[in-house]
Amino acid sequence: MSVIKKIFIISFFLILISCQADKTYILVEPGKVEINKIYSVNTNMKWSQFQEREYNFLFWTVDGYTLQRIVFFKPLEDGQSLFDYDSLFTKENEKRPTFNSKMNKFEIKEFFESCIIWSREFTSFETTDIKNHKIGETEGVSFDIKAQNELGLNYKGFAVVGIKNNKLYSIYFIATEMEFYDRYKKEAEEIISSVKIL
Amino acid sequence: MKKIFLFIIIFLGSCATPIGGAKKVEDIKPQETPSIESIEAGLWMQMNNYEEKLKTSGSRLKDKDLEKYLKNILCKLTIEYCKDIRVYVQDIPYFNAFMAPNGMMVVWTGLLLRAQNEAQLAAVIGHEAGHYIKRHSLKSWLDAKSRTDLMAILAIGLSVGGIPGAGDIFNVTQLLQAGFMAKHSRDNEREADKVGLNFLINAEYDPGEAPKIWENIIKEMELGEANKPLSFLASHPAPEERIKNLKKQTKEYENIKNKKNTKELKEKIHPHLKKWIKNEIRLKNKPEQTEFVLEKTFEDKKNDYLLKFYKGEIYRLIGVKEEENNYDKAIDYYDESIKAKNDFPDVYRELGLLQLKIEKNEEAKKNLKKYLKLSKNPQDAAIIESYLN
Repeated sequence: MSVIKKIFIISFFLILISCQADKTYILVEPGKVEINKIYSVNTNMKWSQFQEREYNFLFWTVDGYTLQRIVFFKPLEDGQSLFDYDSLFTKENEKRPTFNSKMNKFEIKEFFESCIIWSREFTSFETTDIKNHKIGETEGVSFDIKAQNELGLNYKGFAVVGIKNNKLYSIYFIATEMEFYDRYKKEAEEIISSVKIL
Repeated sequence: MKKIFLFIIIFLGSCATPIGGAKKVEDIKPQETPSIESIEAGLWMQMNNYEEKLKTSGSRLKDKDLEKYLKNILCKLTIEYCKDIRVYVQDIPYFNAFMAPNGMMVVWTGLLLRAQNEAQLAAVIGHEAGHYIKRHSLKSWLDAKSRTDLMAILAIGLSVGGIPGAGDIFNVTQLLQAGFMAKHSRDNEREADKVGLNFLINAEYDPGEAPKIWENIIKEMELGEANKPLSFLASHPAPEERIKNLKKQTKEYENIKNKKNTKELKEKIHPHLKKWIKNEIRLKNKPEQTEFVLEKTFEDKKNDYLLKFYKGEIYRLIGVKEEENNYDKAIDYYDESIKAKNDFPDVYRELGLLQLKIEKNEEAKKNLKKYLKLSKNPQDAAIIESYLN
């Protein structure tokens, strides 16, 4: 085998290994959990946590991302968006919704909704029932979510968002309306109401 | 690898044998279905699969009444083909409609927002029905093959041929969305226009509305980003030429006052209007372009307060950009909305919240209080009150 062939094969395996290293699932045990030194939360049950280096969010799930998840976003600064990667369908960076720390409570909800729509994960996505909500000591809002994906699967959920030191903190829970929303709603409510910004 | 490639080409060549590139394609007859061994049957099969998915897709608008209304327009245009064509509405905020060879017609909500009356909508539906009757998808396929466009043949052949796994690479959805199946030659477009126009005249719609919808689209395109044509235009060539032809053909009918049915269309789309406008604004097109779309939507002037309110929304959402303060423009439009109708609650809420942002606190509080008074215990009262205290 020539040297070039050997180099090629070794490089190929190295690329494969490096790809794998980016995607990690870790087990979250019940109790108090610190998330990336950004949030502190309490959970009564086990979750699988998924985090990929290039995304500015991580999520917890039990049965899988498409069935139920709690998503924790890293804090956003002015000009940033919830999804920084280029959507496959909308590679128009200039049209990406961007955060502005002067947004009022309604505009934060509007921004959150626009970002999820921009990501094109759901074919319909609506937020309703906006209420005042405190994330720890941080003033913010909560609202309900209704969504549907391309296959016609219905989802329900809720989100909390708030601004602290000009940065946007956001967390949401979403699950399939059939089966999983009702099963994990109470647990998700308890987790989200226990969130403190560190 | 070379052998596989050669096999695919031979396979595709054999697929085309029953019809052959040069053979004349007749119009499809009412209630006709293609023979099972034909290429057309393969196209139908793929489209039937796509249609099954579309029926339960989350992107299909949940409004059977609106789909029934569009189907009725189609049946007014052509009773003969009424049974053969199914009309679906997809909730996508761009101007587009397309016709699949199996009789599946899809209209996007962006087109419904832009049609000013039923006659304009009928012009598009009639045009798309023309593509079906004249079998333009099959003609395009054969034309692509006769030009030995290797990539096109591979793309379509792999989808139609049903080679396992290949459909994932070039699936029919992608083909449709890329406009390939809907992309027709200029001759096909002219032919579909002619069929559509005859339908329009026979159904006693105002034929003068047919060129108008295209004129509006051209104007909108000019106001927007010139290098990004609207999706429909990406697959339908030369709107200027189309307008010229349509005007020429409708000249002899210009003194006939046929129906436009503006009210009928507006009533049907009314339940969705707020959401569609919000989605239109969210596209972040150039503000002049969005303003133009809204002006056409509210052209009857009956709801001028809404036109002004939504124009205000365009500029509020842009905010401060490149040293241009759009908040002042937004406030001007909100004020005009109030002048047109002084008891529309939403405008007081948006105006008040915007005034808070630019620290006009006294005026802001006055407007937010007015919002609470007019909307009578709104669901967001607690949040508004948090801004008042």
